[in-house]
Amino acid sequence: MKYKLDDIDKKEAFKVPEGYFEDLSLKIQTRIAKEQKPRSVKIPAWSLALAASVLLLVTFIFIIPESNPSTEELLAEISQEEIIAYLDQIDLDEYDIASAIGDEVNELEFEDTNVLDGIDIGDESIDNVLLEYELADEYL
Amino acid sequence: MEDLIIEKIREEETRNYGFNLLVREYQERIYWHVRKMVIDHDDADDLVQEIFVKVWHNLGKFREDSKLYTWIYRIATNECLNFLKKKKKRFFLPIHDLEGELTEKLVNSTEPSGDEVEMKLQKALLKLPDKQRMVFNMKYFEDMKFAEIAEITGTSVGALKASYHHAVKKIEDFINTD
Repeated sequence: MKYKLDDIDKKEAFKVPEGYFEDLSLKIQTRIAKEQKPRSVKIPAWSLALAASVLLLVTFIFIIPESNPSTEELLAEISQEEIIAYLDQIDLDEYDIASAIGDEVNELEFEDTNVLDGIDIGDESIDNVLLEYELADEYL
Repeated sequence: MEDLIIEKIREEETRNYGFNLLVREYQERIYWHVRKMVIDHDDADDLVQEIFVKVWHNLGKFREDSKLYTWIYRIATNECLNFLKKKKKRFFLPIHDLEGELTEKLVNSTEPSGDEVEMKLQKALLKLPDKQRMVFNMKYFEDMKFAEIAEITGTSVGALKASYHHAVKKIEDFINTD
């Protein structure tokens, strides 16, 4: 059978709990009354999140460094004699020293490009240095 | 009744009483309007309460040049469409099967005595886009005039007529295919 829309009964198909409409207006009034009461100070979620972040930051800045002393603080507790004895024992080459100093040197290297200002180095002195270190072929 | 309600809500002293009359007058119609869109009773219950709370807060904005009931329907319609839009967005999958979810709810919330063809009609309705479904419901189930639906939805009568006839065709096609 081919149905047309008009052939179908328009009766309500959905179930509703018994007595629902009798209570509905009271539910609405109650909801409005609740909203109109002076609200207790509501703290928005974002401000709680912000407070938590600040607390976390304070913990990192002030508390954690105290529990984990810096390298300088640890070294300060060791006597110079002990450090010298230690360095004497281990076999450090230039590579170890360079990598220990690391990037700090590179940062410093170009920080002040005028380091030679005010120092009078004559051409003759430079030539002598280059000859002494056998660099003349490379730079002259 | 509408005139009496408007008269009561106009005055500060009788506004509560007027609003109470308004709720009693329209709660059932608004409930069914919403229920047909969201299918689930609990969702409809929550939404109807929200709609009337909104009506209460906006009573001062009601312009008496439009009918009170079309104004309430406009609020209800917007709330319903927003609810469905949010429901779609709540899922992470790009194409959430809202139609599937509503169809499942439909099976659980209809009278078991309902005819097979009535169930098919309800399922066919869920295949329509939300706004078209709403227009269809208002015309077919609630017997509203196109001019009233136009006022509620802010769409022209011509566009509504076209949308309705298109919906009827889609529904009949669905019902008559297995």
